[in-house]
Amino acid sequence: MEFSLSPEQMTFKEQVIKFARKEIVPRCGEHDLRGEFDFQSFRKLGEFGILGLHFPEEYGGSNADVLTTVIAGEALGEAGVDGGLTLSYGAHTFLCADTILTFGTEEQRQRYLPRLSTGEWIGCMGLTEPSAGSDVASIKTRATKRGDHYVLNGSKMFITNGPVADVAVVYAKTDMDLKRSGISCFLVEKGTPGFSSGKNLLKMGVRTSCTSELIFEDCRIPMENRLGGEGEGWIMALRTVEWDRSALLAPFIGGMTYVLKKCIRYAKERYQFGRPIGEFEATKNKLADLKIFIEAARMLCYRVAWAKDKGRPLNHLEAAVAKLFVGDWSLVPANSALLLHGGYGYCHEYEVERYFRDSRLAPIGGGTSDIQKRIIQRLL
Amino acid sequence: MDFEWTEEEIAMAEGFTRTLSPQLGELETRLNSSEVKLAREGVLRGFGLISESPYCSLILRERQGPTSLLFRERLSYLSPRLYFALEMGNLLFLKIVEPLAQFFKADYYDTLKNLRSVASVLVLEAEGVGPISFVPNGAYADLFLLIAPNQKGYKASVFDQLEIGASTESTPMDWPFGPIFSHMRPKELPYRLDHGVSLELGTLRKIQDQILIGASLGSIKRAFEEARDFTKAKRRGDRPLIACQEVGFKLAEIFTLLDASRHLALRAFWAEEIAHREKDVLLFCAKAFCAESSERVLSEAIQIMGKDGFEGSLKELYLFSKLFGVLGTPTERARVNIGGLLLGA
Repeated sequence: MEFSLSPEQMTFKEQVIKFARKEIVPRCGEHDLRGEFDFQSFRKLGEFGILGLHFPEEYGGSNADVLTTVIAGEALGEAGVDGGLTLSYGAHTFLCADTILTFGTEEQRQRYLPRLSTGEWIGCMGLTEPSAGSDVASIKTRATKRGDHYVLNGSKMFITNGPVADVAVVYAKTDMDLKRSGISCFLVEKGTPGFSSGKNLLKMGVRTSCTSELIFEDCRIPMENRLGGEGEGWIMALRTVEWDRSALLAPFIGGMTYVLKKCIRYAKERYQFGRPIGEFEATKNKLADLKIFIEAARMLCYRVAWAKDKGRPLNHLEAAVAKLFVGDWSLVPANSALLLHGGYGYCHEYEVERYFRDSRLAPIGGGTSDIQKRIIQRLL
Repeated sequence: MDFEWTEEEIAMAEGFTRTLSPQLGELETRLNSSEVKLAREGVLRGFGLISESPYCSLILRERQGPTSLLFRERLSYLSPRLYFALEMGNLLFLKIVEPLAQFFKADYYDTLKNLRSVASVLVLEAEGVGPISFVPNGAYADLFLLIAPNQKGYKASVFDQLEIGASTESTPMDWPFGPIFSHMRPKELPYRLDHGVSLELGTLRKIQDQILIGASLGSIKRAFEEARDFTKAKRRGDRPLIACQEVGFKLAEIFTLLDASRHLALRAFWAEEIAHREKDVLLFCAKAFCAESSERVLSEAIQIMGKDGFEGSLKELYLFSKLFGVLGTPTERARVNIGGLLLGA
């Protein structure tokens, strides 16, 4: 057992933090208030190389391993980047672009990945539907084969980056009589006739990510835009889950570290009853809530990344444990951080309220906590 | 970064389990006996089995790493009583005495290290006479390390059975802690302590915390496995109990706590081994989280198993798990210490 980061990983993490603090963090609060996606910051992520970090160089990436990719996400959170932008980055890179990298043909990779790596194009992934959330196999969006193309009909719901995406990885049934094995995957570009997105949903947290419905009405998709083989969609969706439950968790854990640092600073500077509130045991107890959570969650997240780097396929148990822990056990420390700041914590200026709102997504997005429990239950 | 045990570590740990497991039934009968003589026999027999393994050499290293935790989890899982007799008795004694060995007589040292005799550690936290509870091996140890405060701080001194026995009353504690733990009531303190060696209480607490982390992990693992196996065997209607969502979800939470506790503890032990700058705060994090998780998991596991859980071995582990948060650095104190360290206090 050995848990240290390499010198290169530590240096890179510092570089990401420095970059994000300078280029992105100053814009986060304003965009969160307005509930707007920040195109400029997203492109900056692309310019820095984060959007395609783990892609091969020929597709505009840096060939980074999974752990380094996870560390980059953690560093964004630790720098103070809001949960909305990191969610957009996650949906773009891991749920959309990585699926193309893994299952796409060479032509598909060449067409999409260089653009997605730089942030010139934004990607999204459409799986969830208005009536099919956790029960993925019951999706109703249909892809009917007609000669040299498919026709898509149906809708997708809660799609991160939906309103701004240039390309969507969309899951649809090619055989309605089958459940999981009837699901196939398609690439749908913005502007394709019959494809539109709904209005940006007003959310409690992660407000700088935009979320909407995707609507398909007799949307004609050329055969060459099918990703992978017919009926392989389920396996592809499952594979993205490992990213969902490692790299997508990392910014959240980094964000908790950011909040802990804010709490420490506040506990030193805020005086009540003639002394800093950090001298009160109740304050120290709240700091402990945060520290314990961060250290445990980080280990579980790194382990999924390490397992992926070792080439172990579909680490469902480890991934579900990491997701469940981050989702359910983060509620107390996020609340502690808010309470530690008292009335100021309830105000936008101190950022912890934004973090508190953003953290509510952790037990819901990317598979609810109940779904993680179900996965673990089955694997036990 | 590497989350995997080496083949050598796995082989050593499995060899250890293989040696101990067949003897456990008889050992447990003795360790749980109300007769002090039988309990001592059980402890020495258990020690004999352990002495053939690398257990002691791993624990007695100046800087313990994750491997020591692998063994600790296994022993506490197999036999919490033997674990406490060994860890809170002989190994705690040796770890405290070892750096101070030049001040003590060395003739007892080898027999203790080879686990051919039994040691106990008594800690008097305040000056004056009073009962001391949870004295490991107190009723039958050969040697005692008495740690007590005097005007210049804490002092540690070694006494043999006769010396300490003449001035104390020893009574095994009630089930499930006795006879491994005893109450001791000193009638007159053997104040050779004035000539003892100064000791930082924090050093003692740190070693105790490491022991209690291992104990917590073993108990969580045991609770998880017993509850899981029970729910697979027991049926409700036409399906196993584990298939019921409320039961299965509870098990999932227990497993998550086992996994999270174990990895936090491994990181803390790794930090200790490499003298990481955060080693102290990580140890307090692991102590607090593992002890709290242990108590929660035992409670949930018993709930899952219903009356069967309350009547079986989990009942005694449930009481032990409460102890994990109390002994060493108490959980509340550990949390305050974490906060203090983060604030740079």
